[in-house]
Amino acid sequence: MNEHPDTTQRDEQVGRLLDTVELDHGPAYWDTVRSATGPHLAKLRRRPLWARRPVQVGVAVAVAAAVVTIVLIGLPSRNGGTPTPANAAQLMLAAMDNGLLNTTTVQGDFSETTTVDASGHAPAWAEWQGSFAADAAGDSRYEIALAGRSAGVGVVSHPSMTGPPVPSSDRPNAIWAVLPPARYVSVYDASAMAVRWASWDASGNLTDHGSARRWPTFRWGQTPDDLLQFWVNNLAQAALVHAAVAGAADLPVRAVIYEGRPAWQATVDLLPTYRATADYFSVLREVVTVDQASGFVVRTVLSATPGPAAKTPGYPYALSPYTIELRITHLKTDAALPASTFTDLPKGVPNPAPSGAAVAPNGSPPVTAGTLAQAAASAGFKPLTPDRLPAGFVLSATSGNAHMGIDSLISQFVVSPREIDQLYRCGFEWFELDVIPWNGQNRDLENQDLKRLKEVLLPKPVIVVLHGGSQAGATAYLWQGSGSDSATEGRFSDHGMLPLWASSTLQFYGNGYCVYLWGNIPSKDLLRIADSLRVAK
Amino acid sequence: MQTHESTAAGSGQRCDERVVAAARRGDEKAFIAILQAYDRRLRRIASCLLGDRDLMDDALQEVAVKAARALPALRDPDAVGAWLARTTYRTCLDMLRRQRGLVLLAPEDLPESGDGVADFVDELAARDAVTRLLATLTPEQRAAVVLVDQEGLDYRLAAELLDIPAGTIGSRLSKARAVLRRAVSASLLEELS
Repeated sequence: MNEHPDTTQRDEQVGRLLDTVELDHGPAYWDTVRSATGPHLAKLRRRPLWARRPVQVGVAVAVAAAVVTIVLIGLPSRNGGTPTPANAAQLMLAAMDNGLLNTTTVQGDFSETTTVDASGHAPAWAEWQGSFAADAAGDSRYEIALAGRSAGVGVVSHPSMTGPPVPSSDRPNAIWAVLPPARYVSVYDASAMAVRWASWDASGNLTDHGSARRWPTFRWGQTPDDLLQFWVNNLAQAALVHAAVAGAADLPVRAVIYEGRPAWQATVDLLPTYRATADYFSVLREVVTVDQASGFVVRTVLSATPGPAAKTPGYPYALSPYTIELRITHLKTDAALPASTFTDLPKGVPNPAPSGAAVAPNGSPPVTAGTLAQAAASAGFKPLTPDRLPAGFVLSATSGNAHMGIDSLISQFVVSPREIDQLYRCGFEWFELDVIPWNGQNRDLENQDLKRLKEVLLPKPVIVVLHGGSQAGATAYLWQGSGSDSATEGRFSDHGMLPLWASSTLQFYGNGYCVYLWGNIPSKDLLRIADSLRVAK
Repeated sequence: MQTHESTAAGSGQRCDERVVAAARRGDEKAFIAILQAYDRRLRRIASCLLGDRDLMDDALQEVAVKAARALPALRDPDAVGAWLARTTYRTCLDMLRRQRGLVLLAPEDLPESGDGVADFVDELAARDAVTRLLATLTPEQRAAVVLVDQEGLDYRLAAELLDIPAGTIGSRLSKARAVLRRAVSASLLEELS
């Protein structure tokens, strides 16, 4: 058919035929678009005016328009109360995305209080306080001190470890807690993958210091900074709010003032990971406060109320409300921080050179590696790597035979001494790709594993058939949770009694590999990454 | 066949200059208004090329992000619609190239045996007869019939959107229409008429 370019001949019947496949958007489409584009629009709002348009007579008008736009979009209305809840939730989410992706450094002070109001008794409580600094490269510094504890909290001291409070078997209505030393400092140099620490007793005597080449493990129970790194990196709360906003268009959000700064406050109901846990806690609720200017979480209050199984003798936590409150004050973002912030211990403490390797929880020593090739050499196999990454993400660290965060809940039946982990970051967002060689060994156990997960876990997995990359055809399980993420999973499960599910965790047994992908990025991104995995060259 | 004027149907809606300017300053409402103005056309392109609502939404979300990033360069309000359509077309092609489609299923939909997964996915893809018909066309042919036969663009505008010579549109249309007409039963066509 050689028609003139300007022809307008149209086949109406074909047009109508095509009309029958016209599709509507999914229910959350526009919310998702707002969330995805919010950070980019926020950048435009922050651009200097000269970059938006040539300097001309209309600059004054442009300034006025920009101010109006910022007021309308970024702040509560002054003449009619606050934004509508759904709108406020979207604004909050956009600010949080922007903060995570574009903030270069963050620092401030913090305090955390844990309270158990055991039935008929004075509450047991413990409190920490300190300061922190972190940057988008993954460097961090924490200074922590035990600020106080009630008589209901027994203390198990340990020079370099701390842990969650646990029920006391010999003192009714009391808990034992492995609490940090009187003072503890930890610095982590991401470029060298080196962590250094020091601790002091109540008299100010240095009781311990050391170093190791390892990643921050994000695991409570190894060093005190691990948990706090989660808190201050806002990974847990950001992903939690992400999931909550995506799951509920009417998420209650209101404008508040926190520490003299405009903030949003959202109340999120959480779904426990385990069916059994749900019996103990009828309601798990977290109130999250987000600083409007930076998008960072500045306060969280988690509370649990007892469920039907709370009458179990010897289970003090479920008898009455249990509360964990974290407050961040003097928050400062994007300030220049000297490199020594993340490499030097306080004056007077020998600064040890990193050496050796921390023993991983599964007993196999991690071998940090400068490159993926080195990791492959140490682990003895070629890992999978993603062909496609979300915009801006780069490989931040890798290691072979390490155990840096695989969720033991999922992987307990995958028995392998060999593993390669890859950590990818963009700003304060991250995902981890853990790869284990797998050729069908323990298949029966693994099948049992999946069946067991379906039985004991409340969140239902979404089943995804991978159609791209070397793992095409694999059936993957994606757990998205109902308002929690991998960070909160680490946080709460290791608090012992409030296990919540990781948000974006994708797992599959594929062609020669067992793979775990998890992080604080949207699950759609995890899927795209999984669909692009190929064997590293 | 019917001849149409190429004006309104051809050029589609045009966004107000002030709306585009506001979006370029980062105004979310203005930006969403632009996307909504062209949404139907973009949905038609994406749904016919991809044949799946989730994939369509993924593609259009990607287009939205690209548009948000490209806003500083989108100075001409007349060009916004064409830019969005072209970007949608290219994004869908990229998506088709890099993946044959992720199929999200509810757990209860999945067959117990892993061996049945492939068949199940095939069945899912074949549910819609028209989608199946479209699948017999190349993505390029699909785009041509969407823009001309569904959207009513003239060849020149369609070619401009697809960044191809106008003559190529004609040949793609010819092949696509022939395939569709051969495949669709007369009764279905009558019903549609």
